[in-house]
Amino acid sequence: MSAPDAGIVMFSPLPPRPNGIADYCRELLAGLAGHIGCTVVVEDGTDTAVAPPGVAVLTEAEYRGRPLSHLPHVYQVGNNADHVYMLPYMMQVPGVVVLHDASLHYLLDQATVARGDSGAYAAALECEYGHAGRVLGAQFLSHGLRETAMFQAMRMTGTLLGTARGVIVHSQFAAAQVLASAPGARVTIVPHHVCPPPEPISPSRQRAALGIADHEVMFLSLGFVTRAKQIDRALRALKARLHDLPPFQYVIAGAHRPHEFDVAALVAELGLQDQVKLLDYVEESAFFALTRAADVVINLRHPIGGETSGTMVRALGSGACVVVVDRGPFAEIPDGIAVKLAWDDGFQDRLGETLVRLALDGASRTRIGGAAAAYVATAHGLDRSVAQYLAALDAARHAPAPAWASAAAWEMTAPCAVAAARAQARQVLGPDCVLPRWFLAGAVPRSDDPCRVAVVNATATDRALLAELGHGGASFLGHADFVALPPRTIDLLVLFLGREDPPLQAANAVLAFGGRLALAMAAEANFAPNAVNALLAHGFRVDLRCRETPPSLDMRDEQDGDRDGGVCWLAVKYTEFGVAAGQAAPIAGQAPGREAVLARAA
Amino acid sequence: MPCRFGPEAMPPRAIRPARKSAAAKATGGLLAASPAGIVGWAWLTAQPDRMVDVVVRAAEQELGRARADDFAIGLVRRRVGGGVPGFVLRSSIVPQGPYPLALTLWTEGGERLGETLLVADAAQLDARLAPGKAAAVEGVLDGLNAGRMTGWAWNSAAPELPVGVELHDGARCLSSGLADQYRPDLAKAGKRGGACGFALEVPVALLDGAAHRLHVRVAGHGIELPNSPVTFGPLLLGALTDEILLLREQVARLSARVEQTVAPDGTFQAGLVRLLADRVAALGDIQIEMVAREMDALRAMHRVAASPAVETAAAA
Repeated sequence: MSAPDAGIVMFSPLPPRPNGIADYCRELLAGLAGHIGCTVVVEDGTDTAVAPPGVAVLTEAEYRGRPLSHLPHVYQVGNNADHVYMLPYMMQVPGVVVLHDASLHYLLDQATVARGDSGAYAAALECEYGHAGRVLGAQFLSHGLRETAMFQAMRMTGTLLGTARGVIVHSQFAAAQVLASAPGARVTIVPHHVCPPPEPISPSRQRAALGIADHEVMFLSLGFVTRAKQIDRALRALKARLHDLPPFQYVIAGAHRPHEFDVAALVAELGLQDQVKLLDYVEESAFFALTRAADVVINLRHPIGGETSGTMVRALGSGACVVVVDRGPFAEIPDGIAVKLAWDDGFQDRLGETLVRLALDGASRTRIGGAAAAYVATAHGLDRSVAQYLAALDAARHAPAPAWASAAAWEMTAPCAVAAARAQARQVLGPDCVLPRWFLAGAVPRSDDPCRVAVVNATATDRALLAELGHGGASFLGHADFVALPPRTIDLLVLFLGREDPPLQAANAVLAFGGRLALAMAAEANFAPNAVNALLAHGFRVDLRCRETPPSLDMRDEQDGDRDGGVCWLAVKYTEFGVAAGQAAPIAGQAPGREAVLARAA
Repeated sequence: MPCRFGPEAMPPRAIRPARKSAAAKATGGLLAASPAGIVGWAWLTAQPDRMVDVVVRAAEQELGRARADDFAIGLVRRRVGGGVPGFVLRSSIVPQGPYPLALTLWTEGGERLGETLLVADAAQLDARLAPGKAAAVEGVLDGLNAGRMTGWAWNSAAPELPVGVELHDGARCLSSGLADQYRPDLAKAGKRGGACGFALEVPVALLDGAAHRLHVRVAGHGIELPNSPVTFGPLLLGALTDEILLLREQVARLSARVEQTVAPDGTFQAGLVRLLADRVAALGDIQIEMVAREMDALRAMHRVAASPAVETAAAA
């Protein structure tokens, strides 16, 4: 099938890939295809991809062979290996990122460490988390240290979200997390839609298939069987209240991860083999059949990363009575739609009491399930999702790609090239001109390519010399104008300073990632003692520091440097983490303002 | 150029005078030039027992004549005339140049023999510039100017002759030339009419980030001019300091590695504790910063009900 000239390009796994996002995407495409041409790009090597009628499916190789980069791109991103293939395209063709998981740490791990490139993983940690990330990356490389908690606490989303034209999430909770990682992101909240299958199996047939009698209460948990699902809490609560409960069966359906949480062993330990049925991953139709057959769906999650619970929304949409933890995106469910339990010291007892109460009170279950179905039908309808997607895509289409990394091709000045430039400068400025040290040292790279250069407080000599280096078209600004530049819009920032401390925080803000900062200072003054630490604390890696006149084939050059007496630094911006806007620049110390951050948090 | 067989190796020897023969074909050549004389050989291959009289010229100027009748062991090895057709021409004439100078060898009959011999400078021919008399050389090395090593040199013992100078980087000769460039200040000082300045090329390849000691010496004698050598490149002290700092850093890193290992008695060393402390601090900093950011985001979202950054479903 040929790809349309107009429409959108969506990167996502598709069924039959056992991935919740694949199902979500197929449902969404069924709605979107009626309004806009859709092309889905799947991973190379995908044998089968099921898409709705009218939707073109391309492999990566086919996509690369077609001129589709002008179309709006949508990336459905989850925290697993199924999404690794789309990472390069996200950077090459910025589009709308649909974030299904709050943390993408495992995804990045699969893209780097799992492929043998631990160095890239450490570099990504450093880029995302600055000095702290560098420490953790170095310890991972040298000692292999990495806690499981890092995968949750360090989301590694800053770069992917920061480069996106727009971000779609499913909850307010996730939106706040996105804005925390990428403060400038354009976030749209599109509630997770639900599309019940056209011909669901009847609840009675489903229960019969599972061997559950009509008089038995059916508890159900769905999705990956991980520790965070708190299934052990549910099992212990059921065990503790075994004698208070009516006859019941607890069905746990989802792919098992025994290395993370061995549910079968726990069931045996608690002696609940007769009351618990363990199923593996179930198809979508079976999924809906189970939720409709269940009396109570136990959908706990802690810690909460902010990820979308498609399971919960589908269960609510099926009219199930769902029990959740009253935190994060689950707290956004209106009261009366689900049973929300506070996560505190009394949670375990409260969970037991709730399960007993719901097991005994069929009327309550029916009332809560009915309200849930009605709520989801309006707030989580596919039509609404489609409309919001189209609006978000339209906004992204007209939004410029966010400024992020520098693409400038720099030519670092070799000593012989400096000598030639000196001779040329003498011809332009006269044989007796005093050449400043920044020029003698080659502290400002040469570039003949168009790039964004800002120069602050330059003299006429500085301007002439910058023109010699190919920066004649630079923006020459005063200090106030430079601070007001939009973020990440400058490839090279040249600051001419007297004895004052350099405004490193503002410099970090205006420079793109990989952009260069050239500091030409009359004297280092207070900056010298902790200069390297100050630069590191403000997200810069030091490339060059020159306070001596570099060697030259002309003694007059050395005299120039001596008369100039200045110092020059060249640094590269590598992170924004810990360099908060409005925060006082800690020039003297190396800590990126931990106290200030604590104060801000308070 | 070293003398391969000088006058000591070629004692005079009485040989019958040459007889002219129209059929005789001469071969020969110049081998070396030094203040001790110009060395060469000439031989009539068809009449090997006849000696050849030769003339040495520099361009059109005749430097002298000689009879090729000296013995030289080098010629024996080359199977030339039984080793006897060598000659050493001791000329009192030192050509004025320009240098490098091409010397040619001729028979008295006007027949050209062999290739030209290039003489780099007058000092190569002038006995007055011999090592024993080099103290008469005056000069100063000024330093690097516009990519050239500049200065002046003049031999008061041979005031009319230019002095050859060489630029060395250690044992390597980078360039050479004559001190024959005009400089008004030297003319005022009465140094060879001012024509004794020099400017030796300094190759750009020296800008390699390493330190170089550049020597300027009188050609052929190894006498250094005042101010030579010139140290060129990164400041030695700075380079040394950097090296020391680098070594200290490496030592500290190695020490840390050693400390981080488990001691023989099974106890952990302090380095491991520091490593873990750094780790806890790093994780703490990340969590604190992220919590602060989330708080900022939440405050912003609550402060502005319909935040421009967040388009909620309700707003839509």
